[in-house]
Amino acid sequence: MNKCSLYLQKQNSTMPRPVRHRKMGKPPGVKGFRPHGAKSVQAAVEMLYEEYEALKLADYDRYSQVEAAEKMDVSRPTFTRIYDKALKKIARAFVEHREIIIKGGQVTFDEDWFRCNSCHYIFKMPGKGNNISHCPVCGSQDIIDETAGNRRAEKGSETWCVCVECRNKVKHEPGIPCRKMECPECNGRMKRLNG
Amino acid sequence: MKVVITSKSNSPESKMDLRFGRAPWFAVYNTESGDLDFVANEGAAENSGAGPKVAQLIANLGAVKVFSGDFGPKAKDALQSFGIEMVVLKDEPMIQTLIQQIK
Repeated sequence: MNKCSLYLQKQNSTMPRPVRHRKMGKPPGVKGFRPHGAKSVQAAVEMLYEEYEALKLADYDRYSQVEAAEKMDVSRPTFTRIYDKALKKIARAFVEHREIIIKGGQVTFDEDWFRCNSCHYIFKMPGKGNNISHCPVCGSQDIIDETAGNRRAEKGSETWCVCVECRNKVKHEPGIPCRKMECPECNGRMKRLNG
Repeated sequence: MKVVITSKSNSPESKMDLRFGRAPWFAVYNTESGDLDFVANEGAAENSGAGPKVAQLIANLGAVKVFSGDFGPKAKDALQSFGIEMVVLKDEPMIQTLIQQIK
């Protein structure tokens, strides 16, 4: 037993460890699936992005569970759990003729997908990360970050980092933990606001 | 400026191929002169290492930008070392329409 778990035992705390973010390649092409010819409308089954990705990696791309777990940046048993949930949800939707809606979940994308509002191409540029200023096809600057849109929709609103020393607020940059940031005003430690 | 698009066949009416290393053809478009050439991918059927070979081929052609549907990890590294910009498109447009939109 390590220090941390001893500490938790002493505190008699039951708070679980935060969920590790699962890595994803592409977001699914559709938002869900609807049963054909169902007589009554039932509540939909909500499938998480990570469950869709697990199913895709294991059964569509035919990776072994070990490889798929590595791709998603989770442990092998966790991958199995996610995959199992995905199968159960699909089985339930099929048997009880429910809709499947794919949304939410704790995921990060390798690279964000962008959409150009002028030529409507959906694109990403490997190696450039997310610092894209204009569309590589038509050169228009009217582009939107599709993936960030999904992430924001999950969390509800924008997040902020706040300085512990001077209470200075800086907009949170996705991917960089607030505690690793330095306050631009006083170089103090920062933390997530309301986090 | 030369732009390469992975292609399913060697005509302007064909669609962009979503694979990079194993695409059967490459459309090479010169944005200044408007010339469009097609280059066959001889290494498409190879067991491994198709991506880096194609990256080398594209670098030899003098292209600065590649359009495809996906880049493998080896191809990504190779193209990055050659300083070639990669663009991943989600759907497969016709070579003709894509060329008309490229500036």
